[in-house]
Amino acid sequence: MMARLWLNYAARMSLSVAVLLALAACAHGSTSPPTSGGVPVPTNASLSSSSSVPAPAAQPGAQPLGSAAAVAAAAIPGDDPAIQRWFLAIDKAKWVLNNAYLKAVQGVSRQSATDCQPLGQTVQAIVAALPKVQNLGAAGARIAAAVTPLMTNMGQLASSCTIGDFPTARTILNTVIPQQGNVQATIDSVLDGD
Amino acid sequence: MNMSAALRRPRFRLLALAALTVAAAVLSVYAAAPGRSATSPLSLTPTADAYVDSSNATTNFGTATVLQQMSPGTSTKVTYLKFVVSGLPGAPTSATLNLTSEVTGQTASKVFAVSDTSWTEQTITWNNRPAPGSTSIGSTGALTSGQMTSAVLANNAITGDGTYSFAVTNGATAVRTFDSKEQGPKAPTLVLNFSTPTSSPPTTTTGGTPTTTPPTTTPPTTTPPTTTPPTTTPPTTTPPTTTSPPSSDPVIMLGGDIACAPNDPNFNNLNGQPGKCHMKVTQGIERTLNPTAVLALGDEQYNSGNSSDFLASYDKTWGAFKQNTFPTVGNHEYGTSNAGGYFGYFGGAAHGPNGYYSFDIGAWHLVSINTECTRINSAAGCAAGSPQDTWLQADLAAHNNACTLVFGHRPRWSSNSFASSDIAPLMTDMYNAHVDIYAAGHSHSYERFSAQNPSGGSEPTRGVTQLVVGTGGSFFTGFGTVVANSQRHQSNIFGVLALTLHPNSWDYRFMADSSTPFTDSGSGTCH
Repeated sequence: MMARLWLNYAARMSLSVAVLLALAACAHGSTSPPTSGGVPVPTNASLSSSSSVPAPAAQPGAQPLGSAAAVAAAAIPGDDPAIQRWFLAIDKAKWVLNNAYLKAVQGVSRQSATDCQPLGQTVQAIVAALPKVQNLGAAGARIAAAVTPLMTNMGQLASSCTIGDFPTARTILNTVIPQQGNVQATIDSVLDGD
Repeated sequence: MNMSAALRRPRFRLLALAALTVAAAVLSVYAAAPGRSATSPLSLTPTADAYVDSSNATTNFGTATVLQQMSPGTSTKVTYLKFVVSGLPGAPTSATLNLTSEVTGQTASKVFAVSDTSWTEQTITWNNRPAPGSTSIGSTGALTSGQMTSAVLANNAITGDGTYSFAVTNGATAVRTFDSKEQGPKAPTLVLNFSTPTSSPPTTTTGGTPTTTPPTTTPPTTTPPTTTPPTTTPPTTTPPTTTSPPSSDPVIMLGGDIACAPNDPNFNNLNGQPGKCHMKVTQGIERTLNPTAVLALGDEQYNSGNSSDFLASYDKTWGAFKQNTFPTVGNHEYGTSNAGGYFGYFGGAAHGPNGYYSFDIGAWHLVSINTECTRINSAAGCAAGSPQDTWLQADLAAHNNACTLVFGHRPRWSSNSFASSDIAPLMTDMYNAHVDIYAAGHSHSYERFSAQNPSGGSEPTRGVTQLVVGTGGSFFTGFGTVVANSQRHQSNIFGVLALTLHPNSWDYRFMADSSTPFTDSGSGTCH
């Protein structure tokens, strides 16, 4: 899985095209105009600051470079306002989950069942939000596919710890720890258009 | 908070008194010694410390809060210290090891060089300890409980940049204890003095990556004096620590998301292509300013941060400033197991394995945090109550500098999906400690926010100003919906941000790659 996540750049760019095509076909069809939750703006490559930007100049000492406009960032899922809104919507739930997870980690270590109760509740908040991202095209579906099994494991971690089955909780935790890094890497790859 | 309001508060009044006294003391030294270099002493805390015990030969005491020594009796105990020295202008004229004793005793402790520096705080035991040299290179005086004792080291003890390891023994048959780096302000320090003028290195580097308690260092320029004259004058007379020119304040350069891998199709022998792989160009921008320090804001080396790519790309561009670079780790670095390429390349400067640390430049306190929260501390690396969270709170509390900058890879806010929820507790710590600036990358664009509270609300007099500078050269990403308080945002640009660190304020100026012209400049006041 990690090998898949860390494709070389050539592979990344090829995939970007595929993802973009997929997004053009389905994701952006469900994307509402970027006006809620912030200042209405043009999206992606067309965005510029309030100041005028002079024409590109040649870079001394470097090989000739083309126009910046010609190489502007291609639209990637990380710039998609709908995806952005989903992450903003779960912002608080995510860090509350993290805090509950740490408490559960300590609970498993201390064999304190009460320390694991908050995790079960906070997992549900994320689980409840997953259908929305699932419907945000190929990128959203990949995010949901990555997060769902992690939430399942976290829920089982909370359950086993809460009932005092600490050996099982420890076993699940040993899975969840590296899984979190892998899920984050998957999300990063998706947002980058990999 | 404005200065007059601050001075009405006892804590700030004391701070002002302390700073003025130190400034006066420094100025008097300058006046009394014409021609003396303005190069500041460099004060280092250990990157590792521990003691070993012959009666517990397989036990590691790396996390102990005290460092013990005892001559052969019921057991023998020896203290080990390791320092990473970097950014030196040359060999120091003197080196002093300072230790705070927990006991009183007449028998001095002796310091020995340890040539094998491969030992680690987490694994050293009596059985695997490296052998000290045969000749003492320094000795303390008599020990007094609660007091610092100093050992002036032999002239060749520190010869330049590198890792240095020492063993400390005591001839007493009763246990002698010094405070370890886990004790924060009472941690051991290695103070290096210089006499030759040079471009100024940062005055203090805080070493180590504690898992439970913070390492802290009180730099010479901010150490509260033991006696202070009554005054309420704000610390505006503190001399700058830079020497070129003498009156200038430090200028640091910031940028993240930097070097393409050699197998990138746009690598082009380090020269890149339009819109891709401009790490050589951005390094050239930095060179024009000869900055005091470079803050590398993560994702220094694509695509997986492995060692060979670091050497073939980053090192041949931004590596020109390696001696003055303070890095933070990004998500791509963890494409190599445990970010091994990153920690290997930057060595002690990266403060592995957890990668968070702090230091001072001029009047400023700077903190590097690890925003790859799922990669450290059982994947709870940024949660409230995590070791990093606890350390950050303590570090910020221990450093009452007028100005503080924290930097990490992921931004808390971004006008796309690259904002990090995970670092919310750390942002709360920053806000509570009156941090002025949080600088990040990860979003491959430039975005400057007005000062905000942890909830993202505007708070001009108290909030944290976030700067996103993911424009170091790799490739572009864009924006989605612009979020609240984003004052300036620009995609499709490469460049670095120059920050001039004044004693109570800062100036910022974005310096763009000429192929992607853009400007943004201004200033801010510390609170």
